[in-house]
Amino acid sequence: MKILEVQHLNKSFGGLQAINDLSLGFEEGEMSSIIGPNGAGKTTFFNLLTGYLRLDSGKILFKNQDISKLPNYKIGRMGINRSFQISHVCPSLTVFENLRASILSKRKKTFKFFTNVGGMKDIEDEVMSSLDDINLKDLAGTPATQLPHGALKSLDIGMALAMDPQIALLDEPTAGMPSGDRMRIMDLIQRLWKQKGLTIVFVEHDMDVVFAFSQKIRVLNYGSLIADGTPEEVSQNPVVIEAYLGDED
Amino acid sequence: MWGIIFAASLIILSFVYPSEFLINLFTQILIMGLFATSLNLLVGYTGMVSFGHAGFFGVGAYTAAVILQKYSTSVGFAFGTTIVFSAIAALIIGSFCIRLGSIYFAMLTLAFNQIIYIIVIRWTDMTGGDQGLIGGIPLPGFLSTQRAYFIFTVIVVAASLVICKLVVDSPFGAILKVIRENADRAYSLGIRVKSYQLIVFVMAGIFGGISGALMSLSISGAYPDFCYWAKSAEPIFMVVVGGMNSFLGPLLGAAIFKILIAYSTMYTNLWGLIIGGVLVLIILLVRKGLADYVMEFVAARSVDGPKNLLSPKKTG
Ligand SMILES: Nc1ncnc2c1ncn2[C@@H]1O[C@H](COP(=O)(O)OP(=O)(O)OP(=O)(O)O)[C@@H](O)[C@H]1O
Ligand SMILES: [Mg+2]
Repeated sequence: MKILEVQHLNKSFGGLQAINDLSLGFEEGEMSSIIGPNGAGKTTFFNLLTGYLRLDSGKILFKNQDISKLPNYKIGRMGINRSFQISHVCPSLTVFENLRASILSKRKKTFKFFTNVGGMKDIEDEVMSSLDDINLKDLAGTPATQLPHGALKSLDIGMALAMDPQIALLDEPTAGMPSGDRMRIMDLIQRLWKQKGLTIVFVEHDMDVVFAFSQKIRVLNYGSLIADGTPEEVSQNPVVIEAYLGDED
Repeated sequence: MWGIIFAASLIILSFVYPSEFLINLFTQILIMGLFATSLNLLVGYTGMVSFGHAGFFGVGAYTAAVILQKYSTSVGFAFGTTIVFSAIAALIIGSFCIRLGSIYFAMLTLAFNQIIYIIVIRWTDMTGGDQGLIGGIPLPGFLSTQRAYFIFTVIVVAASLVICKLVVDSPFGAILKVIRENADRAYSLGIRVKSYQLIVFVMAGIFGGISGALMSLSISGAYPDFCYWAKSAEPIFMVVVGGMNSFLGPLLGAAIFKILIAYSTMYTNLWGLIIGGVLVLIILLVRKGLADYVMEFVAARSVDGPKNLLSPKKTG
């Protein structure tokens, strides 16, 4: 079943057509990727899916329900959770406090006004186990600003995954990392994907990562879908080779 | 717990060392401390810089004063009405202001502050207009001495601070800090940022109103400059000087502010210069509020405690 699907999606910024009549869907339980040159519209696509931008026309169906007019926080609550290309964490809060935001929200405990949050043992345990999932348990007490880049990226991803998303949209989870770290963080995401039976879509520029971790690959160029298939199919697609793989490396 | 101890020791102190001057000074410090703490719920905890907080001080001051003077009700009723009116004012003003991003939020709070000021000036029948609500405010016998009113203030302020402290340490308070740090991210976690901002704005308005009511009863009158926009700078000074990242920072700031004024006015009428000078010194030299400075110093000395999951500086 397609858990998330878009039909004839359009979005332009002034004269620039960032998303152009895009139709595609994601299978439940799949781990797939979206690739495309810089400016292809990948982040814009995620912003549309998560309600951070309003579409011009088209439909976004989540489990067959049109969510294109819902505000971003409702989409977040429905189980479509994202991480950000440029890390979006709370800089002066600790790793623990950052992740706790996800858990409190997921458990609907945020409108408690007089309970001491520090005394909520069940929340703390859950935060710690989510931190364990992303190998950040030892850095729990570190303010996010003091994290090395890789750990910061993990935290950003961890905040999305701790929501137990029905579908997680990860925008360049390995951006700015040396290649050894890239594989490590993707291994971690893949392990969680298997273990929790998640649906994951990630945007990625590193072709080794893309081919190693995608069951399906979608290729965007100028806001349009130019290829959609398994890694083998995509790697042999002449349009892709010309538009993307050819001039990238 | 510390609240009760603190309140009790202040009360005891007023008996051990009964100085009219000091009792009055401490009454003023506590009132302004609550006022600044209520502003800090917005500025320090949620990252919403309001330039119009004196508006709520004015609403509270006039509500309590008018109710007691014109309708001679009980003090309890006057405070109840103050809470309701401040909450309504904050709900209305807040729902406009939170639509906008930071700088527009600040300007809009300032504009609403001015509107409240104009209402006070124009609604002469009710407020006494320009010259203020004079003629005294009748207080029941048990509050008639200066020490009795001081004790009343200690209790009201301590109770208010305890409530504020509970809220900032709650899950709701934890989310406020997340909103301060990265509202954009909060949305993606399913958090409806505007609801939290509105609730905390109303809370700040209520406690701002309570501090205004305490003030008008303490000086037995309410005056338009309570809610003149420039008055909004005072709690900002207290928050900045005392420290916005420590719960008691604003109270410390209020103490510094009031003590500076009390002693400098004895020798000079250039007290504005002194206040400004202190602000410049603290901003340039310490670069953070005094309480924050102390807290960080202490935290830096105890980092290898058993489990330190919470950020050392953003306490509270
Ligand atoms: N908010 C915006 N306002 C105006 N133009 C925008 C906005 N967001 C994106 N664009 C433009 O839309 C196009 C697609 O941008 P987008 O960020 O979606 O690309 P991308 O595929 O994520 O690229 P990258 O690989 O560099 O992250 C770009 O030309 C970009 O400049
Ligand atoms: Mg992008």
